[in-house]
Amino acid sequence: MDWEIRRLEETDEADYLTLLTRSKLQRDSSLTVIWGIFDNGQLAGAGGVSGNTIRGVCIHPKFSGTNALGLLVGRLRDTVLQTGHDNVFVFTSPQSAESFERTGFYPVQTRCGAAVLLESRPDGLSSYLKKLAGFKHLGNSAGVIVMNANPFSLGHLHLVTYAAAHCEHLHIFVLSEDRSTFPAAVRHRLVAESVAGRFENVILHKSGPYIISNSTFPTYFLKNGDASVNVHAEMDLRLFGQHIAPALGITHRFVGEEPYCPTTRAYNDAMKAILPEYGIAVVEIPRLHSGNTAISASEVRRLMAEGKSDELKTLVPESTYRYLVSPEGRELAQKIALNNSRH
Amino acid sequence: MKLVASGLAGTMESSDICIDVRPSDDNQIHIYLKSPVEKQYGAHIRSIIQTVLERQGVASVVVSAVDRGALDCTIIARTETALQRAIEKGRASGGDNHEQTA
Repeated sequence: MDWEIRRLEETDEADYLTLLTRSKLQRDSSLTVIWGIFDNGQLAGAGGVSGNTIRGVCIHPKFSGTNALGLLVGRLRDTVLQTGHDNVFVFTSPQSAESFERTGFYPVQTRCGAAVLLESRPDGLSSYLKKLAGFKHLGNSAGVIVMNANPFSLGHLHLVTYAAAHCEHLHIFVLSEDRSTFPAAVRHRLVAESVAGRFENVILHKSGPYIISNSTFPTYFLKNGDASVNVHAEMDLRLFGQHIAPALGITHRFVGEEPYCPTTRAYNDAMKAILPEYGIAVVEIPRLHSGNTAISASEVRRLMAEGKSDELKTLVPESTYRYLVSPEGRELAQKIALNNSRH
Repeated sequence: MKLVASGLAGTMESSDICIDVRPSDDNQIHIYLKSPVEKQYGAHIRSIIQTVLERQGVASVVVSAVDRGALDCTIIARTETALQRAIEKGRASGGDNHEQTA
């Protein structure tokens, strides 16, 4: 076998599509780098990287039993590590899980019908869960809210207020993925500021890579959600139900109604179908309204872009408003006006 | 010697072994091995890695090894290099690499 490993070019695209179709995979448009392994000029296999996750890997069956996958995965793994990540994830089909495990990946979530998630760190998930377990409180009920808070609005505060009053301890996970308008550090800080002193039973966490992240639910961060949203949602929710919820003794997950975003709505529907299997009650509450419109972070961002500071006061709490009118906040508003993304 | 950063050495080529070392959070040595000859040589490979760790004075580490049929000399070399890189990375980011003493 005379292997050559190189980046795919335009001219290889057709061959890659053929390989994908054969493996019953879709062409993943979020891949930023795609590597191919060639045997005497013929494409034997290929796969790509998106952030910290390897996806879209397929090897021609005639090369199974060779080191094609191992070599390709080695290159893909190096690609991720070189961009500064210290844990590499793989999102692949259940049939390929064993092959990936042999090349040095460890299962994160493998009970989801259509896909499996693996990671390069043997103790990645387990050390995350160990840290979380330190926050487990004894009691009859523990609730959770997962939020992007982009930015934290009165709508979010309404949800938190309701949830905190309906469970003994409330854990709020703020998404760590930095693919939204507001940087993760700012989003987290604004939640902390609004929640501090107001509630006695709220614990704030960063979501980390195991909750609605590039590895568990990449569709969330894509501008146009696609059909794979259901597969990703199931992956994320089963990971949550099987591993994260037990670490904290979660009995309830609180979420606001989603009138606007189809991706989030699909996720919420999946939540209602899947989490009860793990003994978690899903509580969906109606959105807080300001006048006739449901308050939403996207509405806040729209008003920011239009420079309507006064209207913003009716949608966000004090600390978020202070940030929005700060120089940093105004700079962000300009950026929003220029781009026009879902986030 | 105490690691504060991770280090990687080796490739997925046949006859090589890919070794990743990183700090452990429980002051123990953990060795995770994937090898096509786990049954015949798994214990042996682990003991080689353990010996290198002991020789380098590393008592707290998570080693993740992916073996592609490597000989002892390769396992030793890759393990030593991975540790060396972890130490250099630790120094580069201002870490001490040594136990803090009161």
